[in-house]
Amino acid sequence: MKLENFELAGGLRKEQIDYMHEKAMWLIETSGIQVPHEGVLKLMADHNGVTIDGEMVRFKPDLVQKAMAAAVYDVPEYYKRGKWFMSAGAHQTACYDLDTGKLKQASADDLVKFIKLGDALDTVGSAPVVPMDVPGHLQHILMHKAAWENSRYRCNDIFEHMDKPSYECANYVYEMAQAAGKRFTFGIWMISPKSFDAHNLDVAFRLRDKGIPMWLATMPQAGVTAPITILGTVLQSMYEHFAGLTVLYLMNPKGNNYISPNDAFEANTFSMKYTTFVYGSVEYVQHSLHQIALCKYYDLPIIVKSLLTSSQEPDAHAAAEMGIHTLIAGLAGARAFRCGGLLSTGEIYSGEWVVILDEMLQYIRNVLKEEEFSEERLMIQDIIDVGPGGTYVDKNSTYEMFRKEYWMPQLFEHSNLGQWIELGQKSIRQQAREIAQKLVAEHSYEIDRDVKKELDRIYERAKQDKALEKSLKLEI
Amino acid sequence: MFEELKASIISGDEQKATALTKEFMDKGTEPQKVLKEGLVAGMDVVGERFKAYEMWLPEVILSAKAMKAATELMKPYWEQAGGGESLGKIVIATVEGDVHDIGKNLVSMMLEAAGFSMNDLGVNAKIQEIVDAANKDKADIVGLSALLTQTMLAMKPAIKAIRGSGGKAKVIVGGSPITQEYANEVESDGFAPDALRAINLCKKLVGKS
Repeated sequence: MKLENFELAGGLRKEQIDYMHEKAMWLIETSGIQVPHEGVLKLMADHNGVTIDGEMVRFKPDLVQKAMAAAVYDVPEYYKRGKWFMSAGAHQTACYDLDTGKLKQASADDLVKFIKLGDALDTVGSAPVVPMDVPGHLQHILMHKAAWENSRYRCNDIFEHMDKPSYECANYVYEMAQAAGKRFTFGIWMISPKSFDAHNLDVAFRLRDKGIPMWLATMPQAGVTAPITILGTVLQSMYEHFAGLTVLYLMNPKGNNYISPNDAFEANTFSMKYTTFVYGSVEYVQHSLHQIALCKYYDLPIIVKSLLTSSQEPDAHAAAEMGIHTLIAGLAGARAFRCGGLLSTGEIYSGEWVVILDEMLQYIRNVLKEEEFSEERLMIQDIIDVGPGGTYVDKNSTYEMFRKEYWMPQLFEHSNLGQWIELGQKSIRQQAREIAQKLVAEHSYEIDRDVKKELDRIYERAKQDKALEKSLKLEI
Repeated sequence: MFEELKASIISGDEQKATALTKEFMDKGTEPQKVLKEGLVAGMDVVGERFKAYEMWLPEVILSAKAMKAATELMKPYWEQAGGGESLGKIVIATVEGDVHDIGKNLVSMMLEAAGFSMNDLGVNAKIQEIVDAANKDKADIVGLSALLTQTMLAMKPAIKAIRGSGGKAKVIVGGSPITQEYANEVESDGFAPDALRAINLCKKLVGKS
């Protein structure tokens, strides 16, 4: 028999989500979305349930429901097993140097180091940083290449959300994915309120014959590109997600089209004080709880952006936001957590923070772990056996169980003052950096050599490709 | 009464700001004086409070709207008086490939409220379009904005093209992924992390700080 799992009660009720669902459908049918692409509009024009007025498109609820029902959420085995995991990284241009701890612009060397570190800690997701020392037209290609060469899970399942900024770039990444046997997807970002980026849509339109998986995401900002209330922003997010997914369903019938679980029902908070996005705030945590409820309702994989903070350093501010957010999300049923390593609302990547987050995730996982309830674990006989003045230290049961009964932290040590001084008085950040350096140095995973050669060959070709360079407007 | 006008700008009371401005104009008060001692003085306080994080974005936008409405109302009087002097001409745009404009719009609005003449080219602006506008307007400053790491790459060729076109405009950059390091790398004339600091930067660049 097991103790009952810890759970969080409250939040959006089923009938409230039913109501929001109806309203989202009604908004799609009456208000519609803008589709700024002639080709996509033509593709959709003859479908039942589609009304087009200029660039504004409205869908009947039946069609939207069909698109939602057709979506397949191809989750990896580790997710199915309920493993706790971290997705770490998302296009940061600045980072804390792993050797010096100083803030700097990210380079290709940092990209590889952070991928190796992430792999050593079993993290998933996108490539961690943008290699700013590499020509712009090659950056995203190198990010995929480095991820595939140096990690097992990264950029290879539904938890990646890598950009392919042009058709030419997407083709190189596609070719590399084929060569390496890795997953290739293309993502469409809606531009709130109710529109798309025409260029992004055009790349998807041109890729539609490949039969590739395409995902849809949107990031409405409360009070700026969406209503000021979190609930209102969540509703707009639902509306944009469902309408956007329907566009994908009609445009890309050969591929699987789905809502990206990475940003499913995202409703961003925005600071009117600092005029910037905000993560880790009270309201963002509340949004995460709504997001979890919606993912359960629609049967989407749950991954929560609880590792993201607005703090600029891996400090108490960052730890408080992450710890509270992740614990609450864990209690609400989340086991996958996203934006590991990101500081300053995603402006900075930190390897030290990834190591600290790994420790914090283990801490929370252990708090919430299942426990057996049994006669043995109540240890009644031991209590009888040890009399006044006795000790349990020399008991057989203690000897057999002491190492595995308690979670032993690697960072959050339980030493006393004297011991801490003797151990060098190291700060958590310093210790985390040392662990990160060690993990990078000892990382041994490598992709098959023939595959590596092929990836190198494709990359060399990309380097010489003027059309690729031009596709990113890098030439006048 | 200037104090009252100044207060109406600070509180973002558009109705009061335009009514008081109209009263000044009807009385024949010099537009420059109304602008300087009433409207700009009010926006200066708004700027200081925004910089000190005492006033927040929606309040600042209300003030900027009140300022804009009042200056619009002054235009005919201004023209009669032989035209007013702006702090400088600025062309602003989100670079090609990027359709995000929250930050750019805010910067544009704040610069206008601070007394600059703005030509906002909107989003997804082609390099040639920016160059042409900068030359046509004889712009003092060109502001380039980007939200995405892939679109910020367009800043470097844009700066090169603006400089190569023979204009005198200084080029400033901003947006979420932009750092001072990147601004230096693309050889811009300046970078600001938010709208208020962009005003200070622009004033400095036109020698009116």
